[in-house]
Amino acid sequence: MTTSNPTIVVIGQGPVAEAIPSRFSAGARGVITLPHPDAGAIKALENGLDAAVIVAPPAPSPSLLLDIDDARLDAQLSHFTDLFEALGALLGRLNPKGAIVLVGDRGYLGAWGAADACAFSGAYVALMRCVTLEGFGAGHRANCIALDLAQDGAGVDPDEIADLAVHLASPAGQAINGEIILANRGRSLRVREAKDRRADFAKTAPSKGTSQ
Amino acid sequence: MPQLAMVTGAAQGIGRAIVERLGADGFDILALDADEVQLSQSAHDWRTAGLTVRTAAVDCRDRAAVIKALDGIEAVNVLVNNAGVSGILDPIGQVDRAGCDRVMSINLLATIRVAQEAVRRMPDGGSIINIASRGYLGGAGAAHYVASKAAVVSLTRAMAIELRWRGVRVNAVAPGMVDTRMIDGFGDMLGALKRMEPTGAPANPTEIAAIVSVLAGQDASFVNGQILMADGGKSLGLPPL
Repeated sequence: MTTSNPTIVVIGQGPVAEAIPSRFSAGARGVITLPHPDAGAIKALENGLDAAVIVAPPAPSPSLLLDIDDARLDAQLSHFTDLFEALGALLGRLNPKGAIVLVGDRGYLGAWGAADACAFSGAYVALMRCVTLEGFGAGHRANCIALDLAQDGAGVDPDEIADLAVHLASPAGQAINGEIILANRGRSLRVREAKDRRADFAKTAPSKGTSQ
Repeated sequence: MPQLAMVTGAAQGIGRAIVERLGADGFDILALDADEVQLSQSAHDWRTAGLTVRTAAVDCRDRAAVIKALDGIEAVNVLVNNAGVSGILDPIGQVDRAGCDRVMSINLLATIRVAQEAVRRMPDGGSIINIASRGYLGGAGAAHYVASKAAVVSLTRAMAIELRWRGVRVNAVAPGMVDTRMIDGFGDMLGALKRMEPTGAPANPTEIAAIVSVLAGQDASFVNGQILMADGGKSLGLPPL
């Protein structure tokens, strides 16, 4: 979707990326969508941008460390450098007090069977920290939303994530800068692990396990 | 029979100090470096000092070259992924695609490839130490380097989770400023940057090697998946002395 004089760009594909433009459009602002990070297209925009939301490509399917091949690594590096170039272009087009939001995943914290995906997740998050620091003087903001890794099988409500992304990208979110917001319904609190451990504990010490 | 420690980026700086420390600890060493001349000079010094060192001039981005360097080696007990570059330090928009690609390829993809080939030859109970950087926390004017080192940190955590079933530990050391040729790239800023260090000076490479020595050995058998900051406390926001 492209409107004349866009002041907002949404980059990426999939349900979350598709849910974002309509929310911006509700505020009658021009939105342009790009399927991939495209530095050339961003540089070609005539207007300055108020906000950019980037939805990173989903993590590749699970793979043991020893099974990760060079083609898979090269593909992820290519995605990363595309985003790197696009962020450079965005910083050059962003209006004062403009905001960039990256929707990534929580792989940066580490996960089983996803060493390469976790590494690139860490790279994306760190890149956004640098964007925050480099854009601070111009009043820019940059934040990350970290979803669960796709292979975790957790359902993501695209509308909820889109609402969060738009909030961070809008003036309403101006107090939030340089943050990584985990959007995974509390799974990072290890609720399941806590339940399993509590159940195990209850088997050996029922009186304590059921009262905690 | 001595155990084998494989060290990348071994010819100078932190890597050379690690070779010398692990050699003194009793390891046989497989030393890899892309700089054949510097590696040859260092190897001469190592052998003169009585260390048992096998060298290979290898660009670790080249998986086939890494595999060739490992030819005939049955067991890699310790891997130190040290090879890395800082690249050109400029704001994001001023670093081109090739510059970003080079730093990520050397600092991250080569680390993964070397780890894969070493792990194939690593017996249970091995130890992997990745050299990251304090910079992974973020910094202006070095986004590609910061991202590459943050990637190494996340990789370390993921590898630790995956390999713990084999008793292989994976940790990282995140040094602050260390007195090596890499910081020469700071040019005119170097003096000011040194004065910003909490201790007033960069670390000596031997200090980083000492940490690696501990993580490599069984005294650290309970340490896994950790990122050990070695930056004089700069990450705490400490001012210079």
